[in-house]
Amino acid sequence: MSTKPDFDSIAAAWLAEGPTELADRVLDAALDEAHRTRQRHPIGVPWRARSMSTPFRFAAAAITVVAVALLAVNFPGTAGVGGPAAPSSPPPTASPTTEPTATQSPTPSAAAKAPAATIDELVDRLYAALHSKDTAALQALAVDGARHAVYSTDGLTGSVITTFENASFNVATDPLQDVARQGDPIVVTDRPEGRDLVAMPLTFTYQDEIDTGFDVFFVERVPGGLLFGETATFYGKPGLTIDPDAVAIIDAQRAAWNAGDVDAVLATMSSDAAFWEGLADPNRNAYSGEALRAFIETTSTIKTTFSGTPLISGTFVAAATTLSNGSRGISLYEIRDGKIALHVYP
Amino acid sequence: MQIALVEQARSGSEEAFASLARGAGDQLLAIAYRILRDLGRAEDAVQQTLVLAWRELPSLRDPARFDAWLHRLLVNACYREARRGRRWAANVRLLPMDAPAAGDSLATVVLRDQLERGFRRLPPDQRAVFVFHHYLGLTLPEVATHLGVPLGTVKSRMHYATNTLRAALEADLRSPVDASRERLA
Repeated sequence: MSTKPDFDSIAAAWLAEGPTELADRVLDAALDEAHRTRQRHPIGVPWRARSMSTPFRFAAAAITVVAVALLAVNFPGTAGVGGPAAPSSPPPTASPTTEPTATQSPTPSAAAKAPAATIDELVDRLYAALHSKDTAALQALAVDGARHAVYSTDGLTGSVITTFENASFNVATDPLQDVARQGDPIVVTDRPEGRDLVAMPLTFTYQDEIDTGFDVFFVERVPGGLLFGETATFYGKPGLTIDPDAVAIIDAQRAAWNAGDVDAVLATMSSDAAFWEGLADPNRNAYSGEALRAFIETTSTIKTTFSGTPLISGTFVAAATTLSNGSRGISLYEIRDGKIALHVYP
Repeated sequence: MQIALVEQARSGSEEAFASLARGAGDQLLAIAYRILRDLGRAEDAVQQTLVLAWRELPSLRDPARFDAWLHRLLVNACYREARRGRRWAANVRLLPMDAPAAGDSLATVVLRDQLERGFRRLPPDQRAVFVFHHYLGLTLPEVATHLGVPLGTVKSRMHYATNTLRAALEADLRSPVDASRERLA
């Protein structure tokens, strides 16, 4: 007589197989990145001095146990690779992954939600609220915890030089002024990934300059309708115009990628071009240099097609995109001097 | 001792955080791999988790809850990695995760393959519940605490995950699954 295998035992034995040790290089990379990352502190906590210390990975076994905790106020700043500092703004509210504390100010996202029935309605209300800087209207349309990252790219290489974030779409902390949509967006729905995606050409004023670029944001389906979620704004150096052959340039890259011709792909891109898979930190992988070459090599079996009419705004081009693995989305490019400087696929 | 380390790290001590990270890293990797079934993505998830933990640690009120809090960050990172993986991953036919060990029967290899296929059909939230219960050995109430979801939600996810995997184990071997159509939630 045979006995039926015990499911729990089978499951446990199967799960016991597999790696159980974190590679040192991963730990080192995490500690290096943490070393460059400021801790985020709840608002209202008193000042304490923060001691500087050696980089994490050299902090080996020589730690001693001492008593209790200090908290220091953290000022947000640019997370970019250099260049001018972002404007100061109030400390951000805590991320959704942290525990709430009594010392935190109420998060702006506590407002009641008023989902839109359609994407057209969502877009209309969103940009009306942004233009009029109506925080309540904006937060009624925003997913709780949604963050807005703004990326300004360098005039020569497309490298991001300025990054700042507006947690939970509190327009009181949003330095962008006079936000105005420029025509109709590209909208991609019915995505296997689950969230619809929108790319909206727009202009705004920042530090007395008129900037042109794109908002790219996810649309979340919630009970009652649609809200907007994670958002990134991209803009380039004011006053620059895009290459007249921009659409041909991105199409040449696409064709080369489909053909598996890595060198031809890279020939359409500037020497320090970056590819972003995802929209904003931390939900983003960034590739450049040899990592970009490797990424192109490993994804060359995936074929890309564009659909609809690409949109141009400033030095950026957006195109609705379908991948042969079923993914549907929007490809966003910045074109400088005939080369792709930044390529984003959220 | 861990509570003291958490308090130090919360105050900005990078040495204390490094010690915490070393102590937690292996388990984080093990959990992430078992949820994502991809070592590269699991490593990415762990790296994201550790950086985020450092950044957000000052908001952790109770140092004694560090492990549960860290697990929650990890699971969220796994969810993000799972979503990201669907964009650029080429469709590949699933292969058995490990070569048969000495003495493994064909039936054992097939069992692993069936479990793997079944597990990959689970959405990430069901995978997380399953891993926390069967791999970490947490009770369902403990799983609810670690994942930050209601107990009823945990029970529901475990129910569906278990049913899917039982069905995978009982699947007719003469009807192979088309792995290229399997999706994450």
